Formats: sequence, C-alpha cells, structure tokens
Amino acid sequence: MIRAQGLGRTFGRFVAVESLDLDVAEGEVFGLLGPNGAGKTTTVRLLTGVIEPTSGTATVAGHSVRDAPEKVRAQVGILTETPGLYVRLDAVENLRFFGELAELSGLERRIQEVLSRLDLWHRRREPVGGWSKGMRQRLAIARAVLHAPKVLFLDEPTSGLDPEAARSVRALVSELRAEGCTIVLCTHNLDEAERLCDRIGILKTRLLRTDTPARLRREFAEPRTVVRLGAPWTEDLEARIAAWPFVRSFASAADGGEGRTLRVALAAPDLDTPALVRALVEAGASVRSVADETPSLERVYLDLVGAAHDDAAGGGAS
Amino acid sequence: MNVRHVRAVLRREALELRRNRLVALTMAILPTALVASAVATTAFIARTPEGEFRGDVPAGLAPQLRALGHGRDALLGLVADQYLYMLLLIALALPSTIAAHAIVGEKVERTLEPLLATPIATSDLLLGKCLAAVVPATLITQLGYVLTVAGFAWTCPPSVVALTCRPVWPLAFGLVVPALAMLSALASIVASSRVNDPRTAQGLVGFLVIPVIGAGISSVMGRLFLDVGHLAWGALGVLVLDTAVLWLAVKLFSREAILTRWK
Repeated sequence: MIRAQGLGRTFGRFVAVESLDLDVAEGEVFGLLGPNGAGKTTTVRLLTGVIEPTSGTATVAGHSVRDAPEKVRAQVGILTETPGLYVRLDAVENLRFFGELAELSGLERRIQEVLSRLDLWHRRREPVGGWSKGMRQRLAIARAVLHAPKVLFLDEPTSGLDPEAARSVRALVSELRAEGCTIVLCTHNLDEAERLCDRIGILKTRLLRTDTPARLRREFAEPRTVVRLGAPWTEDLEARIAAWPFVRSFASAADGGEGRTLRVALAAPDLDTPALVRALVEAGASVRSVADETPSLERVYLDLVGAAHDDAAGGGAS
Repeated sequence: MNVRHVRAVLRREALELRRNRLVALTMAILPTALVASAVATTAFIARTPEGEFRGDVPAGLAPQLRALGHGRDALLGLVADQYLYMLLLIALALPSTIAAHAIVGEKVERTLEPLLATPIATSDLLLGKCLAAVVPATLITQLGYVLTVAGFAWTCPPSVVALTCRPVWPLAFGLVVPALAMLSALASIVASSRVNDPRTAQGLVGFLVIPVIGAGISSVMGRLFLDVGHLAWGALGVLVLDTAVLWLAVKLFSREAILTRWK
C-alpha cells in the first residue's frame, strides 16, 4: 500500500529525511517513532503528497507522490498534530466542507455515520470552538476517515488528551485496523505503539530499524532475570556472582529494606535461571522471588536513537 | 477548474465571514462612513446660499462641470464625482481585508495543513478564496454607489444627480468594480502567500489604490473627466493585470513553502 525507495527531503542545507526505504502492506498498522525533529511530520507530508521529495520515490495506494500528488491526496486521510478545525463552524459544517472537497456522494448520510460512530452526533450543531480538546480530536479523526481513505496517517493522535479520551481514540484506531484500513501512526507514546502497531519504524532522519515490537525487543534489548534477595548481602557474594560462568553481567541495588534486587543477564535465560537460583542458595543468599524482566520498547528506542545520535556526533567531529 | 471545489471553498469562507463579527464590522465601517460623508457633505453645500460661491470654484474645472455653472452646482458636481472615485477604493480595500487573512489566517489557526492535504488544486483553492473576497466587496461597493446616488437625489439638484448617473459610473460600478476587487484579492493572496503576517500583505496591496487616487486628483485638476472611453482603457488595464496576477498567484503559491516556512 505504501512503498518508498530512497525517499529524502532537504530544506536548503538541512536534511529532514534521508534515504527512507519503507514498505507498508495493506491493512497494516505501521508505527513511526522518533524524537522531536526526527522527520516524522516531513515523512507524513511526503507520503501524503503535500510536499515533494528532493530524492527518491514513493507510491501510496498505487499513485506516485511525485507524479500524481492530487491522486495520492484523494486516497489518504490525515490527522495532523493539531486538529485544525474551523472553530466558528459546527461539526457538520466542518465535515461537509471536507466531504465536498472529496466529492463524496451521500455526504449527509456519511456525516451522520461518522459523527455517530465518534459519539459526536448529539453535539453536531455547536461551534467546535467551544468543544473540549478530546472532542475536537475525535472530530479531526472523523474528518480524516470521512471519505473512507485507503491509508490513514495519524500524527500524535492521543497527544495532550486525558486518559479516557486517549483510550477512546486508541479504541477507534483498533476498530479501523480491524476493518482493514492501512494506518501510519506517528507517536512518542511507546506503549501506544506497542499495543496498536503491527510493525514499528524508528526514525531519526533515516529509518534506523523496522520490525515488529516483539522482534525489536528480542534483538536489541537483553532480557534480565530479576532476583530479590533477603539479608545478608556481602561483597564476597557479589564477587562470587561475577565469577559464575552463566552470568554475563549483573547489577545490584538495595530494595528499600535490608534486601537487594539483582538484575542478571544470563547466557541462556531459560536454561540458566535454575542454576542461578541454586548457586545463590548454595552461597548462603536468601532468595525471596525470581522473575523474568521483559525488555521494554522504550529501552530499544532509547538505545537505537542514542546510538544514532552518537554516530552523528562522531561523524560531525571527524 | 473543479467547480465543486471552488464552490465548497466559497461557501465555507462565506460562512466564516458571516460568523466573524470583527471582520464583518471592519467591512461595514468604510462604506458606511463614505456614503454618510458623501450625503452629509453635499447636503451641507446644497444648503449654503448660491451667492456665497461666486468666484470660489476653480476655473480649470472640466467643461462638463463648468457647464453646471460656476457656483454651488459646479462644486456639488465636483464633490459628488470625487466621492464616486472614493467609493471605487472600497472595491480595492475590502477584498484585501478578507483575502490577506485567507491564507495567513488559516495558517495561524492551523487549518491549512488538513486543507492542503485534500485533492483540491491550487488554482481552485485560490479562485475560491478570491471569489469569497470579491463577491461581498463587489456587492457592498455597488450598494454603496446606489445609496450614495440615492442620497445625492435627496441633497443635489437633478443636473448634478444626472452627472453621477451618466453611463460611465453605472458601467464602472457594474463591470469594473468586480475586476478591481479581483485584482485586489489576487494581489493580497500573492502577498499573503509570501509573507508571514496578514498586515504586511494588506500593506503591500495598498499600492493598488494609487491609480484610482491619481484619477481622482486629475479630475480635480480638470485634466480628466471620466467617460466611457477612459473607463474602457482602464478596464482593459485592470483585466490584463488580473490575468497577470492570477498567473503569478498560481506560480508563487507553494503548498510546501507555506507549510514548512511559515511560523
């Protein structure tokens, strides 16, 4: 549904997006993660045919963003960072305007359908300037899906919303996903990305990595075994743990009482956890609990973005 | 051109204009003040005894005004004619008020990006925004002319009223005013697509009033008495300028410059 090859955009000497290769399948929810200024919004603008690439090519819903941007724009829906609604107009007038630009037939029926779905129909005749942020965001989503686009771009859809409003937006994204809509989701919210996205791309000018959340976690962050120990804790015990062959690395910290919490990276967690517990008991430690710690997507994200930052800084110095 | 897209933009702009009381008020002030001033000034002159005007009217007046006599009626004719020139300026001033906000205003309210992400063509968007400025400005200017002439009919003698109804003025307000309003709107859109502030855009468009003011001054100096021939040449010039500025507007209006450079 979306294919980009070597897509890039510069503004003067500033490189906003560079060598972006991307394939998003029909019905897929693709998360675009990256820090501020990473090029997420520029990527969305390139893929929606709003701005032209300075290098590379991309097709969206079968149309080239370079040669047929108007056809691309007819096939996509976009939720921008801010709702961008006409605040003096009511919900129906806002949607009618965009529906007319999309040349929808049965527009009034469709407006009723989307407003009802987003629980806004009963407020349809109020100027949206008086609405809450959550309601405005829902109306902006209604506008984005009004013409049943093949691809939906959502830029920070839950940014600044209260938890309840954010949950309703996430539920809507899940529904759209179930209906087969291809969605590109730009977000800072890693938990949201993990819950909603089939695949995630981590962007910092370049696409650093693309994969499923689970694979990213497995590949980039080492799982840890967390052992809570009772007193006593000795430096001798610490030295002995460091010497055990199945322990690759570990960190210990006081747990608030007299006990300690160990975070241990094992060579083979499935096989070595019993050996670790046995060795601790034999060394005189009092084991209170043992648990696997799943590495977070946040850790992966920070590692990748941090490494890219270090590379860039190194490149700049040379 | 996609008529549905142009109509959609026009309808939305009209809805917003109707609900933006500040802009509506700004639009109403200038024509109301001009019409009231025209009627009040001519009423004041008409009430002054004829005898007090002998020798006070410049001898260099256009022959058509001198034909009214060298006293009060000639002065009334001159003042009435000048007010009609001033009314023409409304057709230049009002569209720039509306159109300068047309692009910059959307950027400020952050409504531009969702709009630019729709399939609407640049030319259709510009045309819709232009018409949204031209239609009300034209109607207000024409209404201003009708009310002013009605006021003159109440304050001035028939010979002066006949002067303000001579074919050139209905033709000017009927045909040239829409073209002037279009020129002002297009120039405002060109300016507002290149600057970050609607006030700057309006300021740049201020230069357009110079030819109209020049015509008014020439009339006072007796060098010009507007007739259909002058109007035809003027109208041709405005149409040529309209075409050139429309071409320039489409060339200069860049979606991405507006989205990425405007802060």
